Amino acid sequence: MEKGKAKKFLLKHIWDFTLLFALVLGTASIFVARSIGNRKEEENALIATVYLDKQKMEINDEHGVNVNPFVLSTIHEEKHYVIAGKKNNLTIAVKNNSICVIEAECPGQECVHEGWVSHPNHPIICAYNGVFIEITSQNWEDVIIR
Amino acid sequence: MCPFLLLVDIFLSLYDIHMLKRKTILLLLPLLLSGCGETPKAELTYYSDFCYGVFHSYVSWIYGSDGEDFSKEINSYLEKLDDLADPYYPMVGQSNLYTLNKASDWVSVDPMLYDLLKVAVDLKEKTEGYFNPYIGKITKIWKDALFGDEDAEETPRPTQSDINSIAASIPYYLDEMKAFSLDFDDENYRVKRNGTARVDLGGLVKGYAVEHIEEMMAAHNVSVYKIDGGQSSIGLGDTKSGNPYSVSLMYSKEENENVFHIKDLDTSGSGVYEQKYVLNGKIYNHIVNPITGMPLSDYSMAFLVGENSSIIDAFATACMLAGPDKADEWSKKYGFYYSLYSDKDGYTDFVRESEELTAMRVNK
Repeated sequence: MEKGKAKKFLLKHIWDFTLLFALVLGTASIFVARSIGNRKEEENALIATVYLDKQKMEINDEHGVNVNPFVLSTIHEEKHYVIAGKKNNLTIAVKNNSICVIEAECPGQECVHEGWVSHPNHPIICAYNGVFIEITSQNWEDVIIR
Repeated sequence: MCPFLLLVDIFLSLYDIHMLKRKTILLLLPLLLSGCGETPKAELTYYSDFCYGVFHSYVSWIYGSDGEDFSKEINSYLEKLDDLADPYYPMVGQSNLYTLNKASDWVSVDPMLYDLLKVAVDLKEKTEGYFNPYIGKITKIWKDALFGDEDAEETPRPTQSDINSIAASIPYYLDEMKAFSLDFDDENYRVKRNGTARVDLGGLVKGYAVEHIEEMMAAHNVSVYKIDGGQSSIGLGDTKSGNPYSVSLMYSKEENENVFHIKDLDTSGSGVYEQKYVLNGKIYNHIVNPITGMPLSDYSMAFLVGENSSIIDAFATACMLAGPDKADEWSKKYGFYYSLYSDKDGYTDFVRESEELTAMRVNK
């Protein structure tokens, strides 16, 4: 194509090219924004919920406020709570991004042996006392196989 | 419809009309594109619940739906399955696995248990007996000896002499198991035991449950979901972001050593690490080899990925017990991927895996 004709073609379609460029730019911006949004979502809270016989337990702090479920990512100092299982008491402890059963009057002690747990989808189970501690996070796209 | 797609449509249709209209489109562009930030998936509501049952494990699920919450439907299904497949306690007003294990004549069972039993027997054949639902008595003997009765106040651990005594009695139970079979009456949902062995569906029930819940998800047009059967059988649908799930093996020595990117497939793990008793350098665990009758394995974990949770649940046990050559053969024949490990100081040590699973690794 001659130089003059090419220039004429470009001038004739200037708005087409501008529109196309704007569309490409707009789409790219959306993808970047979504990617940042997803990353922020992954940094969301880690939550531990304590159940007794499938029912969410009421666990009160020193002010009588129910703290179950525990938002582990907002806890800054270690705290202990004694809860009543089906047969005996258990003592659970929470600290920043972690939870554990530190003491339990059950024969197997599997719940105590789990130690501090901070992985979402890693539950603590005391079958003897019917206690189940579920740990979840907004980032439920992480999966752990045992 | 996404405004972006609408805009493209308008752009194409107006391509040949007057330039002024194209200017108008351009001026409207920021407004139209602003709506594209919201994807249809972001409008979904997420539900999560769990059922503590299914053979003393738990099943939890989370799914995105813009329709009704059908968690109660899932919960009812799991509770029924848990009761029906219970080998230790009877069910009020209905026959279950406990009833069947006590009967010597035909027993009418619920269609759900009937189907589960047929799937179990089919998988016994496919795994060449490495998954065997007739192993109930042997499993109970070892479980009681190694890990005790969970309702007992104390759990004494066996000595080498205790283990030797139990091992001496195992050939009798293996013969009993090999001579055992089940007859099925498809018309009337009746089952009959031939022999005295005891049926145990513990190695299959979680995978079977996950598979069925996935069918419920499909029936409710739900594609974004995760169903977690006690962290060993997991059904994975799509994710909210559209990215794959990051599936990691818990007993890896390094944090990112065994991480796989997976979605729209099921995963299953079978390993010795959860319930084990180490004596004289041997890891006695809760998985009993139906060929030898011993709770011992040369391999410490098998991780399987496939399309059917029931199948990979049974084959995870079979692959861990039978080793890599059989795992290679079965994975090609039955269409799943496997990754096999042995134990090294309490952690998984890689042995062999399907090429397709290597391709799914985050760190290849």
